[in-house]
Amino acid sequence: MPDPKAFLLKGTLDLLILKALTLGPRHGYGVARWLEESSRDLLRIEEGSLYPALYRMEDKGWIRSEWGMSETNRKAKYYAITTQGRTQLEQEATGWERLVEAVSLVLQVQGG
Amino acid sequence: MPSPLDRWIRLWAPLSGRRLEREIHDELDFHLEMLATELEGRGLDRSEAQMAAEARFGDPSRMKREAVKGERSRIRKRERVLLMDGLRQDLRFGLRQLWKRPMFSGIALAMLALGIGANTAIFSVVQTVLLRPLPFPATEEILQLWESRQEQGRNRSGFAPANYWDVREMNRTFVDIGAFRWTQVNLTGEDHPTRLSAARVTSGFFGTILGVNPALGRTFLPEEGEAGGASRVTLLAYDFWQSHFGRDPSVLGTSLILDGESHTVVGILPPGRPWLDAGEVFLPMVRNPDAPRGSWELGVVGRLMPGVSREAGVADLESVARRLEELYPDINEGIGISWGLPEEWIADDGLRRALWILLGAVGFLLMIACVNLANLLLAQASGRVRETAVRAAVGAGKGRLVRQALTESLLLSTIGAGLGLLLALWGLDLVRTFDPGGIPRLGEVSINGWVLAFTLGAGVLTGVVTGLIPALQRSGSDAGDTLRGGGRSISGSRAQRRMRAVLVSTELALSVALLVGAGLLVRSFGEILRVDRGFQTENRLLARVNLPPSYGGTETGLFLQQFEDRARLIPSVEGVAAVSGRPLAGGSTGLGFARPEDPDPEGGVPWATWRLVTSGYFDAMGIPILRGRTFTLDDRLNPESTAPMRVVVSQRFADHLWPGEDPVGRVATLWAGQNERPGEIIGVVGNIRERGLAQDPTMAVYIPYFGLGGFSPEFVIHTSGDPTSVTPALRSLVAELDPNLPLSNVETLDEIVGASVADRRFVMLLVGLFAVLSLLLAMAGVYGVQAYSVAQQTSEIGVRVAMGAAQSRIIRKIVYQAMGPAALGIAIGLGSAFGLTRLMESLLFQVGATDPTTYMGVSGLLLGTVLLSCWIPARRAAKVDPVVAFRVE
Repeated sequence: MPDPKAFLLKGTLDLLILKALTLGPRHGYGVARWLEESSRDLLRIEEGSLYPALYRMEDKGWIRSEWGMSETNRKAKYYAITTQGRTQLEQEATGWERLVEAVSLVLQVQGG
Repeated sequence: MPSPLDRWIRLWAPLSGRRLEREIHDELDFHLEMLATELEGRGLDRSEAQMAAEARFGDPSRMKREAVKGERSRIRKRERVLLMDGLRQDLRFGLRQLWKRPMFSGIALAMLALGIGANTAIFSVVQTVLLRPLPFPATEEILQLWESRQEQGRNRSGFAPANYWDVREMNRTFVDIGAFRWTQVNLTGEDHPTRLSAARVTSGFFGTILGVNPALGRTFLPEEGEAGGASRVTLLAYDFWQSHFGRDPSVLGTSLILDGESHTVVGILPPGRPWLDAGEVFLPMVRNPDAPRGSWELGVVGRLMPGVSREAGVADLESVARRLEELYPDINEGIGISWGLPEEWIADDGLRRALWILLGAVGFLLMIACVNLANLLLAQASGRVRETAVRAAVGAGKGRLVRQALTESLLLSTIGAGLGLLLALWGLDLVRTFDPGGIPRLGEVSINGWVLAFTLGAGVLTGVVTGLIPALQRSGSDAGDTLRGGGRSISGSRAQRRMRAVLVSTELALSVALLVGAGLLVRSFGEILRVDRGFQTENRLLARVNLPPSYGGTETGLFLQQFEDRARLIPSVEGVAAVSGRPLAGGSTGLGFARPEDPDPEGGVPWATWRLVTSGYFDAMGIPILRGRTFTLDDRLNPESTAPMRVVVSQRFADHLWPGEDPVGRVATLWAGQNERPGEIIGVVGNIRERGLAQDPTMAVYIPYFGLGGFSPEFVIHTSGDPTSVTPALRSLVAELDPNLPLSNVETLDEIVGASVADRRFVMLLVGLFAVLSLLLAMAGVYGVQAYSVAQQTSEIGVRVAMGAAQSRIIRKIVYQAMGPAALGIAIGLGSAFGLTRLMESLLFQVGATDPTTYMGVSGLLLGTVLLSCWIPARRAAKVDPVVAFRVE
């Protein structure tokens, strides 16, 4: 079985981060932890790609950031999804489901 | 590699960039720490947890670096947005400030528009006349050339044709050397005869030397310049082609009848000056095997071989001149070569200097406007000390405050520059409409890219300079002090008072220098108009008739006599005469002269102009006959006779040869050193300034007109009333005598005199205008400062009044305070004028650059102005009611 950690398609990360933020603002660490937990540790987010993705998405206006206090009383940067981000999430989620469906259909073809 | 814009932004907004970098670091540090804390929670101890977290992170510092690097462009973009936001804020705030103070903004903008507009207009003239390159390829290879005889004081005379052809062949450093000679031709075969200005040029003149490609057809071929070649060809100037033939290309190959001979049109020159539109038609100059060596008549232009320096080229020509001196020692004694740049075709040295001085004068005007504006802003800044202090207290950085101040002054100066541009456009239109004459290329002057860049540059510079002074002053004050001090202490601070005194001194100094310059020019111009010209200008008309070569000596004499006899019959005509050269027209025919017993005087043969005149010339021009008589028909020239020709000479001529003696009846050697001929003096007449009113009167020899062909006459008509009323009668008179002859260049002598000083008048009027404006600005500036400082002292004055001080005493004290910096400024201005006006000595006439009258007049004028500007606010202040004064608090 291929390692799903290495199998993160480009663009998928954005989808996952947006999803993570639908449940409320989180800091970068929180996003990474949530994704690992909800994928039952199947997905691991590289910090090296998480932050550039966050900055890029903020720049595109899908998320916005604000400095706040963390649960450990430390200054942390919180990200929240914007309306534009929600629209983007819907689109990307649909796209992802179609892709999965299409790939499964192809894999189910018998014979050869 | 950051773009220049980014670097600029970095200068402006270094804080935001660093802050974003720091945020990335903070965020990643937070992540690391959370990771470590979590691992610790799973049972690792602190240091192990940290190491594990970092291990998971890879190299944290590298990651930070990469994250930051990856974010660079985004950071920059964000910086740009931040900056633009800031700028927009500043702009909005600045605009609001300007809008809230319409009086201040109006005055500031008017001053800026005036200063920048005047600079733009003058710069556009300077750019077109002095800086725009000539329309020829490799202009640096082109040289104007003259013969010189330094010992005789002749620096630039035309080439003798034989010398020209020799120099052309014997030189080794020029691609080609061309010659030209101005002339006029009559165009006939159409409805009316037309006189055309023409030039004969050597065959390579346009193609090889100027490097011009014809708009149509070709330029002259070498064989068209050889004797016996097909030289009946002509080139048309573009303007003439347009005006006369409506740019019809089929004119190529057709024939024009010029001076009675048919010439084939072989080409059309491209449009443009100099040269290409300077004449209307151009004819080939045909080489004459017996070209004369003693008459200096050709204009000469050469093109150096590529890579040859001017010095090497001129040295080569000098060595040719040495050989010509050896070969023809009599006629070429002392021959040398002098040269000039082709740019002189556009503007001579005097005009160049005048234009630079004009640019300097408007520069001064703009500086005065800047000083005034800085003063206004300074006063504003004081009024806004509290506002500024509040902004500083709530966290606006010092940089941000300076930026805000600069934004405001730049906003002002940019709007002012825009208005100035409109003013310049309008002013140029005005100048073009009332073309004062004397300024070449004035019609071509336009607001082009260079001018726009200049205007923008002037605007930005003005904004930065005027904004920086109060901005630095403003940010220098401590916010806390100001807030506590109630906004009063700072406004009257010593530093600000000193700054204001410096500004007042500066603008007065500038104004004094400008006024002295203008005063000298005005006085010079007055002297020129008052100078004894030696001839009368009232009710005199000059008109030219161009005689074709078919008019020999007999025909010319007959024509002149018939014209004069019939013209005298026209009512209101009091006198008619002919002369071979128009006065004040520039360019004249000259000869060397000597006493027969001393043919080679020490210091060289002196030089005199000669003119052919008919007997009534002195009378018609109002030139007094001092001794002897004028010509009669018996004095006419007889080419066969060896007896001395009879001549009339000017007073200076007579005084030069026979000081203190009666010259009448004596014989002088004329054309001394050339083809000598004896001339018997029959009369002496008054000196006239015919080379220009500012030039010394010429030594002159007048030769009887009758009997000599080859020189076209200018008729002088003296009338009892308006001279232009006889023009139609003169035209029909010429048409009766010969229908193929056109009457041209009809002008009154007053117009000719006016045109000869047009460039001086133009420069004088403009410098005068700028000086008056500078005086007004300086006056307004002094008044403003004074009114402001008096207003600041209102309470103090109130106290004094309450204590019983006399009004006059208070006024005296206030005026006395202000006179210090004013007197200093005037003194500095006089000193700098003393140095600067030396640069304009060549523009002055009979007035020294240190003319005491001008200096004293200007000092008096300014002192009076300053006194008045101080006295008004002082008087108002002294009348203050103490009660009101205290209420100001």
